Amino acid sequence: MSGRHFKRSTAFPSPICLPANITSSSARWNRNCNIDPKPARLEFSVVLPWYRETRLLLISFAGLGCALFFAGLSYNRHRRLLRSYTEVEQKVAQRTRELEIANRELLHSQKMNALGTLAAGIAHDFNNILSIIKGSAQIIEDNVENPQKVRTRVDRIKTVVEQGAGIVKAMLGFSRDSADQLTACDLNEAMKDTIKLLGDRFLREVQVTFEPATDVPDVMCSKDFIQQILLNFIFKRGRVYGQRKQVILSTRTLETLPPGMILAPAKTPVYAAISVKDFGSGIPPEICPGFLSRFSPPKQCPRAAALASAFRWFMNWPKNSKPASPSNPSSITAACLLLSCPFRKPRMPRREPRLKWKRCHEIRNSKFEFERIPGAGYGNDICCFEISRWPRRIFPLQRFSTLINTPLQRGGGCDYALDKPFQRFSRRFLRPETSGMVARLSSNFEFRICFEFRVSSFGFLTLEPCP
Amino acid sequence: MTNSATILIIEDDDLQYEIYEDALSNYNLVRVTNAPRLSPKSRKTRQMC
Repeated sequence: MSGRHFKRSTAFPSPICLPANITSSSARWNRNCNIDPKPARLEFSVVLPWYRETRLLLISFAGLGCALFFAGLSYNRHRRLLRSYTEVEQKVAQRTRELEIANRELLHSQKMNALGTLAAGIAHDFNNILSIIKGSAQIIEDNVENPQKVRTRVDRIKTVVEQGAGIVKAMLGFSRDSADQLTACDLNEAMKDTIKLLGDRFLREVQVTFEPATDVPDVMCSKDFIQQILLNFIFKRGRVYGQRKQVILSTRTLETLPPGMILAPAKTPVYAAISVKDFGSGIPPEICPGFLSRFSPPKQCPRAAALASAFRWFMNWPKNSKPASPSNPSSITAACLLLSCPFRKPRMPRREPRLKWKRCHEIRNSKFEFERIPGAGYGNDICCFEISRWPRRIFPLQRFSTLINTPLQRGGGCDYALDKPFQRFSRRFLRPETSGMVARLSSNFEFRICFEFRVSSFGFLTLEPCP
Repeated sequence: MTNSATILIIEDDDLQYEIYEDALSNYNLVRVTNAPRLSPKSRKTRQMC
């Protein structure tokens, strides 16, 4: 038999005499009958290769089978997981595309909604323009021999055509679909164009004041997107039910972001802020915290975080500011749009005002002096008039009522007002409830008028040019 | 002082009112910008007209 080995043993028959410590069974004798203390033995052992061991083979095969089974199972799961990941990614990409399309359609719909809201005012403006052109043409026909009158009428036609061109330009710029095109945008210009879009009718109901900052740098954004946000803000603020329907727009530059912001815009050396304030019913204090916490960024969803970030840009109430109480009609609600500015604009030196402060009696008895800027050319400037308190003690009531009882008109043009007496000018450009009124003056004759009225608490009407 | 008729002009636009002024220069014009601003005096004037 293979695998079995025999060793020969040299055992002899039982010994004759044995030492006491050696038994007959364990004693072995050599050739000379001496007792061999380590006698040779014939040992029998069976050596079997592993593959002949049935139990080992069975256990090995069983283990291998289990391992293969689980490996196959895990591989199958892995493949299904990969497939499901691919499906989920495809669905996410599809939903993202759908969301982008929906966002674009929503923006377009909001634009059209805003244009529809503005349509009445714009139609009214154009109707006014056409009426002026038609009336001027008739006057020219009747006064051909009067060159002064003809020249005046032609200037009026030029003025209103400039206004109409500005409105058309603003409308075309607003209706253009450029949401995906990021360009360097001048915020002050964007806000002026937005105010142009509002029209006379809206501005008669709501006082819209624009306080531009001179050193606001350009931002990389879509201009119509900014205009859409501003229109939404202005329309919503303009619908407030209060005694003072007033909206104050302002731009300013921020070196650092305000503290306590949940989401901040991208880090840049400088930031531009557009602020929209109103004096309506305000926001109830219990809504503000929940409103802000609802738009905290979920980290798991970067797109939701981006949307929340964008919304935080739109509706950024400072955390430290006290929300306006709804019971206080004069409370201010402010919304701020923060934008990153990759370009740093050099800070413009503040111009010293050329017109010094004048007291009311000086104004009453003196003529206005306007700053003449040659080369300012055709364009529209914003003038701010602010009268906060009437100095009834100082002005004779009748004269002062003449001064203030005619509402401020937009687009009237300051050119002919310069040639008229002060009373006519004041009749045109002041109105009693004026407190932060915006006038767009067409500087047709290379004039730029920029000043504001203030009545201090002591009852002095002061004249101060805007910087 | 001329004894011309008085016309009430309800017009809020300066340029349009200027056209009225040019076209109706032979009349006395009373201007209000909108109806709520009509003072009793101007209402009376309107009734007289």
